[in-house]
Amino acid sequence: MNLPATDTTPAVLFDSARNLLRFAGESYPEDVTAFYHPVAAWLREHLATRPELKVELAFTYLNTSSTKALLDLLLLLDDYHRSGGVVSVEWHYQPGIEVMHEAGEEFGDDLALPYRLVPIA
Amino acid sequence: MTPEQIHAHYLAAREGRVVLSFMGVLTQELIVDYGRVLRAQSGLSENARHLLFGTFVELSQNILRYSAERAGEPGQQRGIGLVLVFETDTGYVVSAGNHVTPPAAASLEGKLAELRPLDRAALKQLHKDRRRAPPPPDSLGAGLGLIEMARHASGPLEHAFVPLPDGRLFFTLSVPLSKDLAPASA
Repeated sequence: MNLPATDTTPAVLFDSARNLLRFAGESYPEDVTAFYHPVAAWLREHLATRPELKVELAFTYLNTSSTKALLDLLLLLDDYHRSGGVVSVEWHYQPGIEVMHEAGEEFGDDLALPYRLVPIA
Repeated sequence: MTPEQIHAHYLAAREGRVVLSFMGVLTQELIVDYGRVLRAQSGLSENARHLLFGTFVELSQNILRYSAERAGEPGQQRGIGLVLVFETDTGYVVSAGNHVTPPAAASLEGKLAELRPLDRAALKQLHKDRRRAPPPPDSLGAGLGLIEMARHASGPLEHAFVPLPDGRLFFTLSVPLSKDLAPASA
């Protein structure tokens, strides 16, 4: 998994040496499903190998349909956690943008897996 | 348009403190470019700039997806509509206008009526409940856009439906936003 960022979609990079899946950038594609469906398919396959996984979410903006698509990905990870999988998620945000901080808190409220909000200077 | 009409348009835009005005086929590329203009606005907090950009994106993508007036090849059609951003002393107003069918108007009226009495906490809860549910049948997105805009607006969303000769309606929606600046010290 190595998708470069575009104007309206985030970079999605899996670093296998660090077991780290990182999303970074904007998310407001015209067709949210076309972008997130393959990412979800990759994630399902990867989780089937029972990895230890860290996920970093460093979004600068998410439109509402991306918010919904991301929640669906996070619920996959939460199911993995509930089935005994080792997974943790960090939400990276710029402290001046309260609305992204709040979005991070709200994702956390919906999840049982280890989840941390990380301000990025 | 005659030169006089163009001048009248210019004067009206200046009088209304229009920051951005677009009427035509909304494309993703256009939304990206105009979004950059809004993100470069000065005189508002970083959070307010983020909300201004986000509100513009939601309203523009709504037109792109749902406007009843469309252009382009079948399967690749984009909606036609109007997007305006005005500046006020304390904030901005992002307005959208586009054609809707009578059933779409009834659906929008219902959704907006549901949101109107809700305070910020209730809107937050509604957003939380809705985003875990499957999208409504008449929504290509998550059906969450109106809730999010109502939640982050500095006042009530204002909307209207103007009847058109062909039986459709012209839908307008205005979202007021705060500049979110700390009060000047005395």
